[in-house]
Amino acid sequence: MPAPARPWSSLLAGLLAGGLGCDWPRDPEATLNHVRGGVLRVGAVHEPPWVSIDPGGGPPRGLEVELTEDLARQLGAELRWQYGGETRLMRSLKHFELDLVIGGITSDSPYRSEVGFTRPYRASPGGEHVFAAPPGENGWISTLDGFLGEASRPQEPAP
Amino acid sequence: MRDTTGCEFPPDKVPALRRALRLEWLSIFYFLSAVVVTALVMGQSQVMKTTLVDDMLGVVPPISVLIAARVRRRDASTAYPYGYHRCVTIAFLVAAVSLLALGLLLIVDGGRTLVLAEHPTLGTIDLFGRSIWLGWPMLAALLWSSIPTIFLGRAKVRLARQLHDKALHSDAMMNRADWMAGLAAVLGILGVGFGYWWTDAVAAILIALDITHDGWKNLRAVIADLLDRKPRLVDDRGWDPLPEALERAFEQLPWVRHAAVRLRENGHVFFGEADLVPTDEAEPLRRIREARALAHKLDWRLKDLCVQLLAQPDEPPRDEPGPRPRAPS
Repeated sequence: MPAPARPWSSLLAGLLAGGLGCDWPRDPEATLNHVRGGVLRVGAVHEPPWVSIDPGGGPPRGLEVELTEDLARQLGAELRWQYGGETRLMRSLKHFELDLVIGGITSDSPYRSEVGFTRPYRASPGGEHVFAAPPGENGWISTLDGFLGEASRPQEPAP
Repeated sequence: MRDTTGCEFPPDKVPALRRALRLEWLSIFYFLSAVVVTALVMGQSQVMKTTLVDDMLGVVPPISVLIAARVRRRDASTAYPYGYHRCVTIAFLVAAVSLLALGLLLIVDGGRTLVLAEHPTLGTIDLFGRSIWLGWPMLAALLWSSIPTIFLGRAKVRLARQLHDKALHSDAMMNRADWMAGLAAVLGILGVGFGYWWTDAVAAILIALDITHDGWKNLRAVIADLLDRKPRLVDDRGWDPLPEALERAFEQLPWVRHAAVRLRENGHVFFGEADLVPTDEAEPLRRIREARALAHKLDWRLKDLCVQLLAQPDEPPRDEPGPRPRAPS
């Protein structure tokens, strides 16, 4: 946990600097920093058509998998997949051992208060779909919101 | 000649009373708007949750003052021979206990968030097609729920002094402390923006401490009122000099050899007894009338004074070496 020596004085200094720079808000656990140009650790829950995991060991497929691959390309990050049930993956996410969990998660999920959800990027009969991020990684979540907002825009006119 | 009507204020105080009641209505609407604004942008922030409770509590004193203003106008009845002046004390007992309980609850809640290192998630919201960080609307909501309280508090303090209204005074004190809570919350949210997750919980605990402090202070004051403590100044900075002033005024009368006065506060007004030792036993009825008239003229709050004539003074109560010093007057 990076805890700088004088948070309040740097806070005031940051206020003077405007705080409106691209690095705002910041992540307490620096997720965005280590993902950008580094490794994006994604937990994927098997939930077609959003995420389909190939039992034969091939690469995962699905709508959210494609979105995640686009995201990794944009950030210059290498993807590292982890497959499993929602409970285990969410627990890893909560402890900052993953950067993202996907697989048809909706905004009314009970994990909402445990981890950080993005804004809904798409609605389906199952609910409003979101990506899950580690709790309180606000810069990372804002980046995801920006990306998903862009990615979902061209799809909206489609039925 | 006991004055048991519900009317408490002399005519020259009525405009101040009207202004005070208008101000309390305004406070209720203002705090409700602050609750709505805060709830809209609350997210998962502990400090916003605490601010929301703080804003909700802000409507409690104005409501009690307004209810009390209605109830205490009733005249005394056979069932309630002392009138309804004390209803405001009851309202304040309830308010003080709820402040104290909620304050402690929020301290525990904030402490739990801090100990478990729960990072507050403040994502983005879509505002007019633009994605902006939730922290910014939160800061706007916090400014709305703190800056107007400074002006509300100042206006109420002035009126509370004129009306000798302790409920209004402690309401004003709570309002005046609100801007500090707002500042703490602003720093908490900004800290989160800078990547310090714990500033949220720390700011929340500071605000909760302030709520608890308010509750504790009000509870002490209201319990002392219920125990019929000697009247205090409206800002609680010392004893009200009225009992001594009344004794001196009685002793100016040519027929009074010794005067002892005991008063207690009933809402805005004072009830009590005056024991007068006359120089001789002539004209007792006229003397009692004269003494009562003198008291009414001395102070409008001397609503219901019972005057009796004694052959010799009673033993005075012993001086209690309490923590509070005698009034500087």
